[in-house]
Amino acid sequence: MKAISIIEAVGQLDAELLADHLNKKQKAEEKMNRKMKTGIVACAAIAACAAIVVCLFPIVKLILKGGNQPAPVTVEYESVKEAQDALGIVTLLTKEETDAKVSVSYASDSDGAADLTKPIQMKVRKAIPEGSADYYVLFGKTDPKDCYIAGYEEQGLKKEIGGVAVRYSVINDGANHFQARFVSGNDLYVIDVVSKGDIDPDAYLLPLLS
Amino acid sequence: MNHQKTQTPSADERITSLYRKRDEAAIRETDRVYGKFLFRVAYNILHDREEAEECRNDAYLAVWNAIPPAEPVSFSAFLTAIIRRIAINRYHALTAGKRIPSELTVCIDELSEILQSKATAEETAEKEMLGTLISSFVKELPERQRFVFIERFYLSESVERIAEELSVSVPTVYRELNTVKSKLKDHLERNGIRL
Repeated sequence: MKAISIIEAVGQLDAELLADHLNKKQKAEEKMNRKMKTGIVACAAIAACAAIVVCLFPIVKLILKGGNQPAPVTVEYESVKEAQDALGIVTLLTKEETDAKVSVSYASDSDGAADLTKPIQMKVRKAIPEGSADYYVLFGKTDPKDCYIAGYEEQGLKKEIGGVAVRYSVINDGANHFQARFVSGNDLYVIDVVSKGDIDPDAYLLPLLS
Repeated sequence: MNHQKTQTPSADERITSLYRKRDEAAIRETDRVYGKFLFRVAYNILHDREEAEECRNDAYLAVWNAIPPAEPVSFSAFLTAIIRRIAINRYHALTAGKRIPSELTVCIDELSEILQSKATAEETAEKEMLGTLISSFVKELPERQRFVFIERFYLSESVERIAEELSVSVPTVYRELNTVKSKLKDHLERNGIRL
């Protein structure tokens, strides 16, 4: 008997048997379609949730990590020594022994007052001929790139003084600008000088680092 | 099959009554309710879209000519039998000496594993008798094996599609097919069909 005859004989299958089968097939296909629809809906829901998480993440991060923090509070001091006494720390700026105006920025507490246990930055402004020199200590920052003081341009200029690596840039745009950055201890130091006259970087770096 | 919502007894009755009234809307309704399913049955056998389309149109004409006087118990089974018959005839016409890639070709190959062409049963057993034997065989099969048998050897569905419909793996369907083929061989031999 040829296989093709069997195939043809199968065609004479009882009509009720076939009708019953077609009903079952219909149900199976309905189930398949439902599964597919459920799968599509589930995938869409997962994708939507992922999109919401991705969109909300930066907002939540801002809320939780300080995007909405109170502004720092600045306290003025008469000298570096007075500021350091208030902070209970010693910085390299002690060596400058300057009486220039000193300001320390603190994080503010919930009442908006300075939280003296959380200093953010100390700034010393020193007058120089035909310009000014600002010394900054950014507390708790150990990466020279992690700096918000403007006026620096990465020029690849580096020097090492007393075992401390210093990056600096020198710019002339009508006035001379010099900015140096280095890390000492757990703090980042920034020296930012503007002058119409010549600027000798060593004159600012050596007193602190040698 | 594309008649999930509309394939109710009343829908079939409505369509057959249109045929009995010689209303051409009968063909439009048949196409709307069963068109995709019929195309699929023909396509499984022929693997050619144009040929499958023609088979479907031929099936509509055949049903138009058959009802009345025919009064099918199950309209869907009646339609399926007609489209299958037409598609297989076309398959023979197209193949005459060459093979075409279709599920039917594969089904025939599968059955050839148990049925040798040198046998003489074809000469002694009428096709109708064989059909009756196969019907009784299919009735005795467990539900899943019956489903697999009709899907594969009547509707020429692919194994992958059957696996999807049953929510089982492809190897499971192959296992069921092997079991069914072996049982069919025993059944035919027990009933005097020499293989």
